[in-house]
Amino acid sequence: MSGLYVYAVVGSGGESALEGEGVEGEALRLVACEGLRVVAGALDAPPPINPRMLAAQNETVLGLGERFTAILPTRYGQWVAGDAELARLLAPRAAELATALELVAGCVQMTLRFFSGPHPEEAGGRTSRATGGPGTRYLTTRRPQLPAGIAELREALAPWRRAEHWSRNAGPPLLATAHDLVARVDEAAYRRVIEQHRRGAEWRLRLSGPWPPYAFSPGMPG
Amino acid sequence: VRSRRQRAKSAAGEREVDAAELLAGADGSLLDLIDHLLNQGVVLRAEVVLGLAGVDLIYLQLSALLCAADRLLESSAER
Repeated sequence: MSGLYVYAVVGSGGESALEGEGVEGEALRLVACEGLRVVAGALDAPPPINPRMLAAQNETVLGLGERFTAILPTRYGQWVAGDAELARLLAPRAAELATALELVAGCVQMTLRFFSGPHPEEAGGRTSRATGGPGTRYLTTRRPQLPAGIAELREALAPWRRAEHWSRNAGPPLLATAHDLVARVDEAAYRRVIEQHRRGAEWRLRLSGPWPPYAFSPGMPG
Repeated sequence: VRSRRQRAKSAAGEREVDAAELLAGADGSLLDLIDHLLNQGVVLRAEVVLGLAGVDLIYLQLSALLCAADRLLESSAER
């Protein structure tokens, strides 16, 4: 029996659009298991984990994200020996995965990264805004509060996101990372809000997406 | 890391995409790939067979998950 390399748990639709290929160039197919639908490719053995394979899986899942309205990417390197092992892995989390599928239906993940300091172009050529001695600068970088405006932006984005994962980073330059779950139809409005808030801010913002909802997928036990 | 889409563009005669552009790009960036990777985790598998004088004696199967801690340990997450 051939093993299965698992890419994602998906919602309804998309049967006719599985023309993509997997990490080893294998054909993708839909597998029904434990009341869920899984996109997998037949591989006799787990593929070696390397940058090429990781990038290939990333691209495969991106392609799936464009075809399915609800998609939960699984872990990288998720290989099972066959249908029976897939069922054994899915069974304990079937209800959780079904709930997560409902949450992400019609949505994409937008990733926001907040960096300290304005963008050089927005700062009018200033290269540094730090004042005071080295102690002041150190304490400034260690301050618990985020720069003004970030909380306001998060609040302004609230109507446009269905869920969020927010994490503070250890320190500059990366201050915090937010993963927002946004309905596809609201993406333009979400971007407009960001553009309104980022101008003249004391922080820098990098927005990327839309992505499949990696941060909102419960994943499967390894 | 270059995506197959970008390799296809290069093969079609378009200019090469350098690393700086890749990192700054809105899609296909290495940073986002690492972000996705840590969000979902990577399952690593290994099999070791210990033998003596050409005789296999012990089989060891290892499975490891590499993942961002706050995806598994909710108590460490700062929301």
